Amino acid sequence: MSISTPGTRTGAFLAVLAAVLTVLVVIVVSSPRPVGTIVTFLTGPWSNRFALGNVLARATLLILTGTGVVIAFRAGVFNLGGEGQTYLGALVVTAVLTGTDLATGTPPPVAMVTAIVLAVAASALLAGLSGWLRHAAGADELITSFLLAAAVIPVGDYLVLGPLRDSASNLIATRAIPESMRLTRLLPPSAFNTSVLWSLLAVAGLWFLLKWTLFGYEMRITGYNRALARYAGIPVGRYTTLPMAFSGALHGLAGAFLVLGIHYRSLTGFTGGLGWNGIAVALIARNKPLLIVPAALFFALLDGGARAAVLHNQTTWELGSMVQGVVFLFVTAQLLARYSLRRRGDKTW
Amino acid sequence: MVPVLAAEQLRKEYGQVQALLDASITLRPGAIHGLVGENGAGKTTLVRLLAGMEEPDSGSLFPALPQRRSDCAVVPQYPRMAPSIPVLQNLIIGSEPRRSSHPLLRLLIDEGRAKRRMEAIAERFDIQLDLGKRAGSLNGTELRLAALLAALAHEPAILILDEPTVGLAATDQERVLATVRALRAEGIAILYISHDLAEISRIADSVTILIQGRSTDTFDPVPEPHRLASILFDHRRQDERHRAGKSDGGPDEGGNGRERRSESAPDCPAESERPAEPAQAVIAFEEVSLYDRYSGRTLGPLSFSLEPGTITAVTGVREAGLDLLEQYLSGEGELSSGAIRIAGHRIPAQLAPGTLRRQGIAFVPSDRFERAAALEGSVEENATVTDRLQIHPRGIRTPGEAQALTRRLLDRFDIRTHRHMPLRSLSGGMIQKLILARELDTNPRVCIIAEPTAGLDLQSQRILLDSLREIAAAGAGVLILSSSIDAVTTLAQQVVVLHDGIVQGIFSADRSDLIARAFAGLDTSEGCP
Repeated sequence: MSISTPGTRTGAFLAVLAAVLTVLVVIVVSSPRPVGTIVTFLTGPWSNRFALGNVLARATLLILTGTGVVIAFRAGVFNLGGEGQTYLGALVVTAVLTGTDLATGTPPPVAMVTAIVLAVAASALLAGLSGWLRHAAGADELITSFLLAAAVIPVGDYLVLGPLRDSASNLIATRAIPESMRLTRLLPPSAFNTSVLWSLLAVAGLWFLLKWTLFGYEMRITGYNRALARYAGIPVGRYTTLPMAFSGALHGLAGAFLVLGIHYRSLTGFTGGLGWNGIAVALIARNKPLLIVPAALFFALLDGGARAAVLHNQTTWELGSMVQGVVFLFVTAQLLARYSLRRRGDKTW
Repeated sequence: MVPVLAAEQLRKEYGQVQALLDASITLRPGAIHGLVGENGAGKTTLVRLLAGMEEPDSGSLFPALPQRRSDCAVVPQYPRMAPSIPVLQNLIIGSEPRRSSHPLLRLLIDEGRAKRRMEAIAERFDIQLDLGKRAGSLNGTELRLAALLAALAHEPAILILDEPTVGLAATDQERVLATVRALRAEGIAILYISHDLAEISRIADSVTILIQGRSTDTFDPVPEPHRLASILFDHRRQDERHRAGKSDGGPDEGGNGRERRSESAPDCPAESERPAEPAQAVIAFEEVSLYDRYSGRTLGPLSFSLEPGTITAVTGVREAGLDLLEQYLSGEGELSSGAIRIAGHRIPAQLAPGTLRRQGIAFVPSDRFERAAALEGSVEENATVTDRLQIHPRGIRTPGEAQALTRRLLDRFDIRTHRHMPLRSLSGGMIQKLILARELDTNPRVCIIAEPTAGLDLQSQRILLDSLREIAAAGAGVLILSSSIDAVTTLAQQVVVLHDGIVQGIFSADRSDLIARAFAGLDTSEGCP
């Protein structure tokens, strides 16, 4: 059994059910007015343009990280470093657009594209390195991707606190990127912006790759059974390194849009679970590209509902993290069960 | 001599399968007792009952279970060890010596004491083994010796050895035999299981023969190998005469009109098939030799040829050389001498993926489910893996091509399923047929399949074997590598029998008694003019 297998319906269903139940239980336990809170939770995200827009903005980024996770899974490799790769992408964009002279002189679109390309390249390299280590030395990419990305986070925090910091502001944040280089808002004053087009394009691209190209086919076969891939003459190393690199690239892109479209700067830890929830999105989408968008929306709604409930002072601030945690628990339980089955059978690298 | 283990009329069934019907055996201290029988005769079941791993359905066993469990130690044919920890630690699992009996200090293992004890045992029986090595780095012989040490660590009164020398090079076999004799000298009762009748004759003091779940009387001393073979394979000859009496049944493609031996000289072999003229043969093995560095085993020289439209089988226990042959065909290892020619053209001594296919040879390995199939993928994904470049010219899929190819493969062997179904939804036999169909889509001149019946239920086996007959009927040559005498005699016209890496002879398939004797390492030409 390989992790590239589209997950079971039961698994996805259980994860969703667990999330919903957690919410209900926590609200009932912690809120003075449980029914009212539940109603807020369910309707809050839709109740006005601002809430809905923010949900959509979050979903946009989850679509990207989810796609990143799926492309790796379908090749049979596991990118656990999404959070760090997203952070890296965000930092590169911030550094390029605030820390260098690129901001002045060059036309904004050129500067933005350059920043994005560099961000994507950096995260692609970071993740691709794990893939390459798996192929060249048999190093478990789950561990190396996690460790490499985890190393990025404190470095990134340092950059935000130090060289890139906005000394004029009270927030612990970098300087803001120039106004001309920000993505257009679609539903002001919410954060929903034009990056959604690129997200949808990424999903469509993955769908096309998997279904219609030789690359996608060979990648899928490698994901199902590396021994079969070798037997059939498929270059297994290519489909270990490149899918990881693409995965990193997509996470980096999410980070770039986090800056260019939502915050316009970097803050410590502001990736807020995008990488981790990307894994959950991939599972609920059962590794199928066409289900990524609904899965991302579901998550964003959960998140938005939790936020609404908290804002109305009706429940604990931890609700959001608890929901995330529970879903993730179910996600990882199912994933790790299949993952360890795979490793036991995978005698060759 | 007082017996240390006695079993009377043991009976055991597993659901519908009658593994043992009436088995009796007695083991005495300081004696090596042999146990012989064909695959499926019930040897493994008997061992499990004797060692106390399971209880018989009826019959008596002495001594009682708890004592039997502590007295008996088994050295399995394929020993298992935890590969990442040293041999010494593997040996003491379950009975680790502690530093002291103090409740807390009991948690500490006294490895020094364990090491000294193991080394003492090893020295006593002249077993040379580095106990510090990781168990995963042991070769076949060392693994067997380690398993033997593990068994001896419990100071058993009874030692059961299952095929201890199979798959070992000749020198290593002698080492093992010497050790077994030393064990006998120490007064241990030994049950020695082997398919090699000559070896049993050499080493055992007495022997019990197991035929289809029933044991014969005990023979003491051990009769000559031919006599053993007669008893063991008699039922085969009776089946042959029975079959020869009927006019239908059995393969009737070419070459079977050959002589049936008269009853007056029952031990004489049929004339071996003369090898076809090389020009007629579609594939010819000429003095092919293989050498495996890892175990030191060799195979060969192997010479035979295959005519188009016929089926030839190479048989023997897997370690007799079938595994080496398969390794070579899979691209691991190379020919050490000799040549394989297809229609006169020589195949490279070392094979890369795709080489065989390009030469017009389809090869289906024995580990097909691990290597030749993606069980989680769809039928179509599996069907198109070898032709994927044709389906994706310039990197983009041509719609309809994959579908057409899949349909063609499914229709070829009448596999009823939908192309998007996951492969694992098909039965084992169907999956094998699909793999076979995929390999045959290139219309090869030769089809080589290893262990065609392994892991399949009877129905699926029959279906697969029918498919192979169809392939031969269509004009290709079929070569089967199989350790199942039954599969081989049902299907092939000529059978090459290997024993210990050496060709014992090439026989016509109707002489399954001779094939069985050759399989067991016996000379098949004794007593003939």
